[in-house]
Amino acid sequence: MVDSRARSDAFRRLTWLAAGALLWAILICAKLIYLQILRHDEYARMARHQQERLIEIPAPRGTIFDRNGEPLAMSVPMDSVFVNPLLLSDPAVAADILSPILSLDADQLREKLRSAVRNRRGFLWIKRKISPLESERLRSLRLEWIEFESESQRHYPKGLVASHVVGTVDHRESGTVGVEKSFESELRGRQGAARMLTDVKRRGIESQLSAEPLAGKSITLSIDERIQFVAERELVLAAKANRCPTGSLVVMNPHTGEILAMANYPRYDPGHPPTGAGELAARQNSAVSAPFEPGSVFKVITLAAALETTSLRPDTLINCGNGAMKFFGRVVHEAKRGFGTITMAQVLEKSSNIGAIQIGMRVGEKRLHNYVRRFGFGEESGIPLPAESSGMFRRLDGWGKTSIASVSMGHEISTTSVQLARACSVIANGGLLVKPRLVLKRQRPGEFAAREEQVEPPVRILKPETAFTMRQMMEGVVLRGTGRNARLEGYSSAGKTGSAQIFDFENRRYTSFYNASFMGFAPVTNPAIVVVVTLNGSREFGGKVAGPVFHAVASEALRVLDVPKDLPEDVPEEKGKTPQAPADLEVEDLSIAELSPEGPLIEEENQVAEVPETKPGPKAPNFHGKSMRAVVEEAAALGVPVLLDGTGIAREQVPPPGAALEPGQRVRVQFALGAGRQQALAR
Amino acid sequence: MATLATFFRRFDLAAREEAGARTVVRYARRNRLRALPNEDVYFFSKRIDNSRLVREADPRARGECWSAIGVACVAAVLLVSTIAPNVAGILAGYQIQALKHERQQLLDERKRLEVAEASLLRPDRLEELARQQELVNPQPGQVIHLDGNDPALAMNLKTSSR
Repeated sequence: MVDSRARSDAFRRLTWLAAGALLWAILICAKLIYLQILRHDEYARMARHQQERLIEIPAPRGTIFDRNGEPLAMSVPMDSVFVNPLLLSDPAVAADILSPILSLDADQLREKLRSAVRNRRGFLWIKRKISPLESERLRSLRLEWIEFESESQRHYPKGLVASHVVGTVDHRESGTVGVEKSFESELRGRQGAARMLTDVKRRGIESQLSAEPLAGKSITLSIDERIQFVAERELVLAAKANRCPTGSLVVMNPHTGEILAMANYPRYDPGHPPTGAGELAARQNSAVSAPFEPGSVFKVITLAAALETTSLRPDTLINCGNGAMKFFGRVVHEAKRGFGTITMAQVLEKSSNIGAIQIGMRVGEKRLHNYVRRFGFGEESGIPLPAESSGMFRRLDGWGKTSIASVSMGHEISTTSVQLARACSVIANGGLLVKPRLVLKRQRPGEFAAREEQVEPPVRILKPETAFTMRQMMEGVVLRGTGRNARLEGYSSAGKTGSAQIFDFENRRYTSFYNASFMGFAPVTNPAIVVVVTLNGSREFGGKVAGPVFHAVASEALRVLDVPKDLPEDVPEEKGKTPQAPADLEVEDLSIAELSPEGPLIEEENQVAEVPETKPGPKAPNFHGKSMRAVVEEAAALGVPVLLDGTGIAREQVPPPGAALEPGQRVRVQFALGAGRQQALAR
Repeated sequence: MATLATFFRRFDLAAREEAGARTVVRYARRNRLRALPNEDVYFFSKRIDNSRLVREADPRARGECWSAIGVACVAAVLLVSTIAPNVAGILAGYQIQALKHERQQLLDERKRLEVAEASLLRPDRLEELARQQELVNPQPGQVIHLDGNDPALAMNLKTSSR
């Protein structure tokens, strides 16, 4: 009986115990359900926040290289220091620790920290992008309240070299000018992220990539650092020597359109932010953004169009009068004096304005306009740089009566240096218009093969023979004409000088300052480089100012590119006497833009120069004033071969009357209409 | 060895009652604990020598003992093998993170050195150094191109051509 009662008690107690245990288990399960199911997300988030850290994986900005792999712009990670002011036990002590290492003013830092504590701020930058040495010294302190964040810093190891091409970035490392801006999306890349599992001391245990970082592409430019340096050095020297406020220089491969150097004056340091409007203006890449009136260098285009569309040839006589020409009531002057009747080649050599106008008139408005367009003027060249100017060239229906004269000698049109280099390349490469190329390849780090840039096929705009003829004529400019300062030692060279008056928009008139230019290439037979030099605001002519710059840059560029010399080197004869002394050279190549309404009408008949007779033998007869029929009959009777050009009355002849003739030498006779008839036709 | 009765001094209480300490006894009785089971049993200690007794060998118990040890070892191995990879993973994680950090530092250092190298090879710096060393460009005529046919000129030929 006792046993059964005891057993009953024991069973009852056991039942209670089991019920209690069950209740306890149910409560635990309920709590678990509450924690792990009902509030799962919240607690998981809290756990993640405590145990995980979201790490940003930086995508380094792409490097910009020159064509030889020399870095021109590069990003390097730098540490930035910050603190949580609320965790600081004593801001004054913190300031005393930080300020000497980071070269900061202790008082200012102390005040900053105190202010942050007062304002309950939990984050304060102490110094951003500190040097590796500063970072190492701070880290060695092993203070938990000093925290670091990695930030990228853009470096330009070559300093000022190619700064206008490469450009620069702002404080967020976004491109502001140059290639940095035009290729911003490719250079920047895409930042990645990873979840890092950390321990109680916030040390990383395991990381899981949540977003793959995409490093910025590296860009290889066609710029050659060595040529670029020489180009900038010579441009700066010339600009300072001639007190020119601005200038630009372009070196281009005429066959591929690759820009080997693009220099501008004034220069700027891309590593430092601009401090004023002047420095902002200095960041403009004038070679692509600042169009100017090209002046006489543009005569190359006029003459090339003439060779293509008219019967004019380099030895065709052009009557340039005595230095002035009336044109629709306005007078065009030569730079200094008249040239009389000279050949077309000499028009280019002497840079005759009147000759260029006459040639332009022979070409005609429509065809000249067409050829100017064909050479790429008035449209963007397509070079991948921001703010490229297309220049200015009027539509044909917007031309005035004197526009053909102005355009023929490089006025009423504005071009950039790159456009001129492109046009000169047409002559240099045999008649093909190439697209300027600045980027050779773009490659993402880790990619096996770089992506070569697509090269647009060149467009033929001139016949090869025209281009070759123009090359010879431009070589004459360097050998005998206004561009003798540009003559190279060991290399043949060709080019054209230009001195365009600068227009004063305030006073609405042309000033006595010039855009002094030289546009040329070398060697003549197989040109390797085209160089265009422009110095704005010069008081001297292009041949004198820009010619020597071409000489220095082209010499160095040809040496750097290992171009074989095609002429024997000139050994200096006497010390202190250079082969070309600028003082005794005719370098006046001014294209007079201001067409004065006053001025004499120059008669053509008195422009034939007398050539002294020096040789015995047959003499050139005098064909002046005779009709074409009479000239042919007289020449046939005398047995003198003649070359007739033009229509009307014989106005000029080469050789002049009475000059001794070589056996088989032809007499070129230029026919022209009377002055009144000519004016009527011009209208 | 004392029993529970001796421990709670029950026998003392009975003796006091007999001695006439009634008030004290009454008070003690009122506060007295409930009787414990076997309270009236008195134990005494007796020295017994069992040194000559020998436990009988039980091979079954030994086997059970060994099997228990084996089970414990297996359980330990299983436990260790279950935990060890996680521990090793965590340790490796620390190491991987440290190596990643070191790699990144080395890459950063390399970049810094590349920048420094490029800066040292700056053309204007090289030109300045050349000027300090009084180096000049060769004058026209000073550069002699060797064509290999002139026996009077020493040639810098590749040794592999022998």
